[in-house]
Amino acid sequence: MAPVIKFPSRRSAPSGDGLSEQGSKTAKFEALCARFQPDVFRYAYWLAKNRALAEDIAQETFLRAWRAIDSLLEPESVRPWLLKIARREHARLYERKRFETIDIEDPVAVSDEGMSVFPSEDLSEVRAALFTLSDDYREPLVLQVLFGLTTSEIAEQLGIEQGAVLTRLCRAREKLRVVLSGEK
Amino acid sequence: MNHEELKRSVSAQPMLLTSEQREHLLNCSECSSFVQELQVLEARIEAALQVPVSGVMPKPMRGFSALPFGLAAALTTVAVLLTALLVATPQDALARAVALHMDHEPQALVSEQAVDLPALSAVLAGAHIALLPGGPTVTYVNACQLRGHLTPHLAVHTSNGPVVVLMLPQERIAKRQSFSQLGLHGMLVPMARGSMAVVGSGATDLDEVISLMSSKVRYLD
Ligand SMILES: [Zn+2]
Repeated sequence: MAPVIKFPSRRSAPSGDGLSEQGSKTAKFEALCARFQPDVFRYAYWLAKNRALAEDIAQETFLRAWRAIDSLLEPESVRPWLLKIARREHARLYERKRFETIDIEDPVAVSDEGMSVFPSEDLSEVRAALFTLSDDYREPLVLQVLFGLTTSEIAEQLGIEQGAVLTRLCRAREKLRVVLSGEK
Repeated sequence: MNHEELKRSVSAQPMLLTSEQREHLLNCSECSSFVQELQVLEARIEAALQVPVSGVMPKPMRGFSALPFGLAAALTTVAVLLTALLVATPQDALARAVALHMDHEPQALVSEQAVDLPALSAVLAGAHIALLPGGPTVTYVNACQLRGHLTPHLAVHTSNGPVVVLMLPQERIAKRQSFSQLGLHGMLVPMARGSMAVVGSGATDLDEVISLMSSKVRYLD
């Protein structure tokens, strides 16, 4: 049975001393969700190219994280760990074929992006261009640009050589330049 | 470090310039304007990747509807069988690559909703292809690498199930070549530019998809 977990409320940060073990585990987990949910969701989105699937992958990732939370050590290892789980969940989702629909949607339509310095038409254009990249090219780019992973960390995450990572990153940007300049 | 080396190495990590790269840039206006443009592009990419986040985390498991499980499994099996089958024929290397590729992308076969037109157009445009209105209902689209070329990978809805279409403008073939096994079949079709691969189950009408695609595909310069 899946644990019932609340999203952390900003005001009720647990006070250290009186916590039960379960309470501190829950607090640790809630902090983890609050901190990394956007990263995990976005990574899943660019893998699955679908919002509903990305939500499912992110959810499954955190459920697995919950089960393994006791084994979690240093804070700096949390994100790579979560990204690895998300990547596995994405693969697993397809393996088991437990999925509903695959469609490429316009993510801008989901909520407004008044915060961005770029107009939303530009973001749509760049996203469309990102969709034209093959998965092999897009994924290292996402890991580098969105999460600031080094090329050796990307190599580790993807299980490929660092040289291959450099090549893919370079070609990915070349393709984006071509696609985006062609549209103007 | 020459200009090409600089551009390549900076393209791999535009925000992390080494001292060697900086030195080159100080003395090279061509490369420094290249890098400036690249860094603007980088900011656009970063903004675009930050899609709005949805899904309050974590919630109780939502049941996945058991959709066309059997179909997808069958078609995946087919791809594997096709792989074995295709080896012995002419144009076999291409056919084999197509079949292998399908096996890697089983998700293409299970969607039922039409993809958004802008995404479809963008992927096709990447391979200098356009699809005229009135074409087939496309339920999945991806840009794939096949034998070193950008290959639009589409799933097309038909009344008897999905058919996968790979547009192969760089792959010229001499003539049509079909394959059939266990109720599933694939066809390589010569096109105005290169070729097209169409793969479906036994129930699906490949000819219908082939003629529809042939009449609606336009090759761009
Ligand atoms: Zn130079």
